[in-house]
Amino acid sequence: MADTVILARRSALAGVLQPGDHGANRFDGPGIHLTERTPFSVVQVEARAEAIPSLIGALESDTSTAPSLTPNQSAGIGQPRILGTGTGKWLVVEPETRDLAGHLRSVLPDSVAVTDLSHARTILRLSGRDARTLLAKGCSIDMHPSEFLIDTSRMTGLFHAAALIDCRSAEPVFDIYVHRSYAVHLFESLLDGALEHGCRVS
Amino acid sequence: MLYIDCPYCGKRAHEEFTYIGDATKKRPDGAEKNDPAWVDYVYTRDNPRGPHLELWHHGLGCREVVKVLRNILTHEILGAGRPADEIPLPETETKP
Repeated sequence: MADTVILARRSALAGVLQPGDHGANRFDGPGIHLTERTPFSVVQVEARAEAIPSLIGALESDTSTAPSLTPNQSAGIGQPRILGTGTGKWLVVEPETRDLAGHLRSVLPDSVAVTDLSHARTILRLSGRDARTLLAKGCSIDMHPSEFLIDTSRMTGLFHAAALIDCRSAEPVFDIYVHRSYAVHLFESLLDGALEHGCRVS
Repeated sequence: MLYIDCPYCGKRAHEEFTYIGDATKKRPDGAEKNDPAWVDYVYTRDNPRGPHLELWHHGLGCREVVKVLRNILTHEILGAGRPADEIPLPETETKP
């Protein structure tokens, strides 16, 4: 007789993410705040060119958030957040409270490919006055506030790992989506780069 | 740093891209197994001393294939577009 198995999300950073202050002890406080956002539902929706208008319409009527047709743009306040990752491709992201992939499959047209990536992504939240400087150490995108605006999301390489960077606020606050198996590498790279600014991990 | 103006993502560093190959080769349509057209399509490549059309894969970005006009001599990126786009070759100086 099979035992009952209760599945729970286990963070890829378990044992690696040590809360506390690291690096320089600045008089004005740590310049970087780094934390993991979990548990989250991350679902990719994708459609061919002819099905994109029906996908956008169905997604907007269900979530009250219109996905942007312009690449590199994100929309929504997080319930859910919809991030454009390419032509006809979006990530729909929200705190995990329901079977988001199953729900989207039921409300979106059959021609839309819905892929649950909740188990496959780690989301890091990076904030603090030196966050842009830290990101600039690891990627070639212009991180200046006049270029990387709020509600901009960019697929790029960050410390050599494929990552999606989403600017949530001009403070600045960034959400970084990375493949689960690269999460430890990216976290350690970010922490190492943040030591000179002082880093508070929580 | 070389920058490629991805038609989907905008200006990105070439490190985000991977070179695929020659964009000028057209797949033979209905050719026979041993047709010389296949030999040309699979093996024959020009090595021009100047502008050349190439396909690059934007693996760390939108994951689309991009057509790039690059000067092989100077590495200057002269233009970029979607694979179906016609990118005109610039006028080059004719040498005696």
